[in-house]
Amino acid sequence: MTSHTIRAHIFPLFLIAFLITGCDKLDQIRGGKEENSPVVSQSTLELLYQTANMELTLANSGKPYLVVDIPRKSLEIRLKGTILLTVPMNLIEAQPGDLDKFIASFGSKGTLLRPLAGKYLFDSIDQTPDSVLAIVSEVVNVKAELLQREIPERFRLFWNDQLNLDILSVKDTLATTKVKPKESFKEALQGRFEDMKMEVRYVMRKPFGVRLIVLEAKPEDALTIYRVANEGVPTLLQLVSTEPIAPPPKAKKKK
Amino acid sequence: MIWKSIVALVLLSLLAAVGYYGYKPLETGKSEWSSISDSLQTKLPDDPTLANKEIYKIQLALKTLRPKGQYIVIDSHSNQLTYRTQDSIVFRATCSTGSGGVLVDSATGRKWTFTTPRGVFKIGSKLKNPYWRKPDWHYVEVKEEIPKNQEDRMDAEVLGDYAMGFGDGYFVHGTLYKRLLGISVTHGCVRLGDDELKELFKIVPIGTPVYIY
Repeated sequence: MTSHTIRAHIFPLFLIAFLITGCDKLDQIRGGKEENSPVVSQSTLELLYQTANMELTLANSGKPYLVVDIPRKSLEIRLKGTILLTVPMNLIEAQPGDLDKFIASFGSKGTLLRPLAGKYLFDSIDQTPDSVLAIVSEVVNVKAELLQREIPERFRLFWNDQLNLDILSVKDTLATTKVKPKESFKEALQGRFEDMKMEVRYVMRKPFGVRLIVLEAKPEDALTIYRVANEGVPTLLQLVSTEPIAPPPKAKKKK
Repeated sequence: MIWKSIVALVLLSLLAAVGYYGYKPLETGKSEWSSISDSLQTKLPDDPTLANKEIYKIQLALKTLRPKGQYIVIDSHSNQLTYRTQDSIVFRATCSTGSGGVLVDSATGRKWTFTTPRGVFKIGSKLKNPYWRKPDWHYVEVKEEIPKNQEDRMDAEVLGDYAMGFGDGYFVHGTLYKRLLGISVTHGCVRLGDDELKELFKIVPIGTPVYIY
């Protein structure tokens, strides 16, 4: 077997082991405690090294990239190593352990970095009232139809056939009680039918074995992710923080 | 009864198949990042001290790239401006960024594209009661003759009470068209509402990094 093949087989196993043991060991190498603490495994250091190495390359590219940041429990957009947008991982459609499976599946090819294969828009709403657009189109000399952009309500990011992440745009956070306004019978019926149509479409697109997690985001954050997440955008799976560890001790000069 | 079950089973199988094959066939590995990802998987030295040194070196390089304190982020997709640190948001406001529109002067053939530049910039100036020196494109847009006298180009109203320059003639400033905040309508500058602009002007020092995407 080639070294790449070995890596491709061993790395996922290590990733799963890492998820089981947690990040405790990493605390030992922070704050200069490494001298007094038990030795940190080579595999943990390897992960830390690879993550930082990949992030540095992405940062030097000068283009925005996505980060599934596990220590911060968030999906992020970064540019030059700097966080531009943080969307908390408010998982709303996930069984216990789904995130772990998603992470393990993400790293199954022996990598923490994957290009986004694409996105799929399930549902959207118009962003701007036509009355406002009529004024804007006069000001900027652009046709109103061209200015109308959609806010995605639910969309999917996918890295391959098996690895998906859905984002649901919601005004209220998970902690807020959702009170629905009164609606007529016709509206209610229409709403249920629309919901059902969307769910059927959604279920049909989730075949067995597909890793899918769904998180909710504020409408403006969902819009930004939808527009930034174009095909080929690199996505880094970050399992450990890339904040600098303690500086290595300086070698003593021989007298 | 049995045949009904068989029909139902066949239908379900068909639905599942449509669901599965309804996906656009994916071709991963097209991106430059696939090969880079592989090449980045370099071996770390076995010696823990050397390994630590290697990691520290890369993490330090990353830290050097990041801003040390607070920074401004302008999201031209959803027209949001945030003043933040890596961990928290200090200030957030709805803004307006470049429309992306194109203007061509039919007389001279000159062409302007009204986009907000993307990348990393710095707040280089802070102005109170700023004047706007109307550029040529303004007169082309409103179909007026370009004035020969520079003083005729000055406008004390349009930019609002404050302006913060981030390079190449681009500013974060106020607006007379508050109803349009949140929509991409500007000629490249970033517009804020009066109160938000006042607040931001107060808290942002010169030299603050500005990330626009």
